[in-house]
Amino acid sequence: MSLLAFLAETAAHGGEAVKAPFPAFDPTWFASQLFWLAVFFLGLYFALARFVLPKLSDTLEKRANRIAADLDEAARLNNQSVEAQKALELRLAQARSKARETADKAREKTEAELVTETTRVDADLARKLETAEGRISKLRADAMKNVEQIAIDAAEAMTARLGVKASKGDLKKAVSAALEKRA
Amino acid sequence: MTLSFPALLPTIATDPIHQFKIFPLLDWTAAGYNLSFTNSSFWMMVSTGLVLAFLGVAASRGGLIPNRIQSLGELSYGFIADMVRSTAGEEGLKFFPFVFTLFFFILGANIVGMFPYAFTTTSHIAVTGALAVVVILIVIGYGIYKNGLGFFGLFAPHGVPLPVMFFLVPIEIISFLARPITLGMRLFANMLAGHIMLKLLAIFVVMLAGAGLAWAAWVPYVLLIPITALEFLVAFLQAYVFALLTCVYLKDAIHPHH
Repeated sequence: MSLLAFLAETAAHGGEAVKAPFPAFDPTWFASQLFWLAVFFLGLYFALARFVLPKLSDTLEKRANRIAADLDEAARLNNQSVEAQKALELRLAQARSKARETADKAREKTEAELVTETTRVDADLARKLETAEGRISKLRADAMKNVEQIAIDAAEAMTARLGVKASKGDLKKAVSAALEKRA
Repeated sequence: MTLSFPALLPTIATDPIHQFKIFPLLDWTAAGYNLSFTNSSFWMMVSTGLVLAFLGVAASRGGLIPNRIQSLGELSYGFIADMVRSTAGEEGLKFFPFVFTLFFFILGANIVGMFPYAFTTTSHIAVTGALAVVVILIVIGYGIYKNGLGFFGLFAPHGVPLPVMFFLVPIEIISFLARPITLGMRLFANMLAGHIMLKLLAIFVVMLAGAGLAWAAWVPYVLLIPITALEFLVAFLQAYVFALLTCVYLKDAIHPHH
């Protein structure tokens, strides 16, 4: 206390104030200051520690949790949408391959029908051609037979004019040989 | 316009020390001690009341999306929590309510003291010294509770040769003992000096103007403006420094071997 008193003495100023110590070092009020400091500081401490700070930290924690939960939810929804996208793509691919299959089948069927029809028509044509050719060759053979007869008759007439009596067999043989040579 | 300043003198003190005077509002003596409710007690009640009102309103809303005052409260919470965590470590968070209360108690007192006619409770060594002593007692108490005698390893740093120890240990002990003194004195001296400076400048304004030198009165008047702003900064800074140093000392209690 003597040090404080000394400080108070030296800190005091002015002629009339010498007896009054510097207020900050005036021990008169120390007890009061300490008592009320304890009252208000402890009061503030308990009010803050008991009510204010837990409430503040609670709010901060709640907000952090809420943000984390919202982020999780967003991630979950994002995954969901990605999966839905994948499913959609899968379905699209399936539909596309199915469509291709159907188109292929239809084309194959058409091609097969075309082939059978073509072969049928071809066969028909070939048959018709054959009969026609048969008729033609028969007609030609007939015609050739007539030609031979005519040639034999002509040859007989010519040999008769020349006064040569040629047998029918010889004439026929000669005409055949000549025709063969021409053919 | 000429004001009759001498007429105002009974209400406006021209003595820069007058603002620090304590006078009782309600006399009360208990157990032989003078525990009167003084102007200092009154303004301490006002500052703690304002702090509690601000933080109470900020905390009570508890909204998911904070409004301005709630945001301020949460910023204060985060600011002090980060300071404690980064200085004293996770374990230091045990003392978070104490450091938080210290910071806001001092800040409230300093800021309230900035207003004219208010009393600056932190401009008294009894108050700041008591706070500093409480801090050091908590440091010593927790240090011994947590580390036993190992706490005194604080005074004997590792890897120091024995002969050096003879010098180092006393120095460490003295520097440790100086902590409560410097801690309390720093805040007290800052508030005291700032308020004396403001008052002196204000008195110059009044005296120059009263002496008919109104043109010269402008000089201290203009000077008062930045210095008032500076004092607001000091009011915040000293509260911060006090809380920060408390964290630094608490770190020593938690981890005495550095």
